[in-house]
Amino acid sequence: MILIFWYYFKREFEISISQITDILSQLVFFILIMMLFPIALGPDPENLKEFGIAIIWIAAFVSLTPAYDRLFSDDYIHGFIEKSAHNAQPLGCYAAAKCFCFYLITALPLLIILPFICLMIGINISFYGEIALSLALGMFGMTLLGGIASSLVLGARRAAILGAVLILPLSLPILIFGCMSGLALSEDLSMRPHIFMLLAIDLCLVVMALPAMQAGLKNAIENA
Amino acid sequence: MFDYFANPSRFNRAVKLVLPWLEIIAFGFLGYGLYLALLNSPADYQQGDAVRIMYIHVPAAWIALSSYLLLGICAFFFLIWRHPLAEIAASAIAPIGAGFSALTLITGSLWGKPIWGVWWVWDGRLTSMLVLFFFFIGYLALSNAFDQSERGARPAAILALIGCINLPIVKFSVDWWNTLHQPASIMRSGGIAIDSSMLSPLFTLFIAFQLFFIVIVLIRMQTVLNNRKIESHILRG
Repeated sequence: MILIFWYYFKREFEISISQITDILSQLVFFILIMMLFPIALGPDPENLKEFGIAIIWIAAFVSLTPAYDRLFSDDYIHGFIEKSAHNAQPLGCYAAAKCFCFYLITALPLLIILPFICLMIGINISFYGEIALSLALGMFGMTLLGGIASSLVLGARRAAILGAVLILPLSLPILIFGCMSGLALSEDLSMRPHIFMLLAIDLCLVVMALPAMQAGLKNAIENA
Repeated sequence: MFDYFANPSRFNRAVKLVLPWLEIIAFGFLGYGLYLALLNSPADYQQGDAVRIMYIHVPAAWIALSSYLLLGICAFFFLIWRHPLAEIAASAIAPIGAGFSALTLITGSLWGKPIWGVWWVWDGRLTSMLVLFFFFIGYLALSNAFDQSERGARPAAILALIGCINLPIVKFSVDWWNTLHQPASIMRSGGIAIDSSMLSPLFTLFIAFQLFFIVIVLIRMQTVLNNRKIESHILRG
C-alpha cells in the first residue's frame, strides 16, 4: 500500500514540479487577492492590522478554491484514473497521494511568502510561526474538502464553479477556528485550543475524505 | 417493510391508498393550528402580535433541519443497499428542505425587523441556517449537473452523507463564533420555557408541517416514479 502511494506520489510530484509556472501563478494569485483588501478597505494601517489575519485566511481560501478543479480532472480526461482502477489499484491510495502532493506543491508555498505578506499588512512578524502553523493545518483540511468536491463533480457541467459551491459551506469551521486562533494571538491569549480544534477537524476529514473520494472517483469512471 | 417497498409499483399502490387521508389530516391540522396561532393565542407582553411569526418560523426550522437528516439517511440507504426508493426519496426531499430553510430565513428576517430592528444579523443560529440552505443548494446543483440525469444521484448522495456528518461541526463552530439569537426554549436542559397557551398552537402547527412535508414528498416521489414509467414505455415503443 505504501509502495503504491509512493508510486503515485512520485509521479504526481514530478508532473507538478515540471509545471513550475503553475505554482508561481498560484502564488501571484494569492498576493493579488491579498492586495485587493487594502485597496477596498483603505490604506489605514490600524484597520489593516485589525483585519490582517482574516485577510490572509480569505486570500488563502479564495486562491486555492479554483485550483481544486485541476486535482483529478486531467487524469480523468486522460484516462489515468480508469487505468489505475483496471490494474486493481486502490483509488483511495491514488486520491490520498494526489491530495498530499497538491498540499505540498500548491498550498504550502503560500507559507514561504507569508512573512512578506505579514510585513505588508502590518502583522507582527514574530507571530509568523503561529500563523503559519494554523494556516498549514487549515489548508490541509481545505485540500481534503477540495479533493472530495472535485472527485464528485468529475464529468459535470461547469465543474469548477460547482466545486466551489460545494466546498465553501463545508469549510466554514476551518475558517472560524483559523481566524479565532489569529484573534487569540492578537489578544495575547493561548491559541492552543483553536489549533487542537483545527487538528481535530483535519483528522475527521482524513477519515471522511478517503472513502468519499474513492467512491466519487469510482462512480465517475463507471459512468464515463 | 424495507424490502417490501423495494418494488416501486407496490409503493405506488400503497401511496395511492394513504395519500388522500394524509392530505385531509394535514390540512385539518394546518387549519386548526393556524386558527389557534392567529386567533386563539395571547400576544406576547413584549413582542406583541409579532410573536405569531414564531408559529411558522419554528416549525419550519425544525422541518428544515430534520429534512437534511432524512436526506442523509436516504443517501445512506441508497449508497449501501442501492434501494431504488431511497434515491427517489432523496431527490424529492432536497428541494422541499431548501424551501423550508428559505421559509425559516424569510420569516426570521421578517420577525427580526420589528424585534431586533434589523433584517439580518450575523448571528450563530441565522448563519448556520443559511449554511444549511447552501447545503441543500449544493445537493440540488450537484444532482442536476450531469447530462444524463441519473448520473448525478450517487455523487449527490455522497455529498449528502458528508454534509450530514459536517452539519453538527458547522453548527457548533458557528454557535461558538457568535450568538445573539434567543436560546432554544423547547429542547433545553431546564425544561420548557414557553407558556402552554403558546405551546399548543406551536405543536399543532409542527404536526401540520410534518404531515404536509410527508404529503409533498410522497407526491413528488409518485411523480418521479410515473415519469420513469412513461419513459420506459416510450423506450419500449
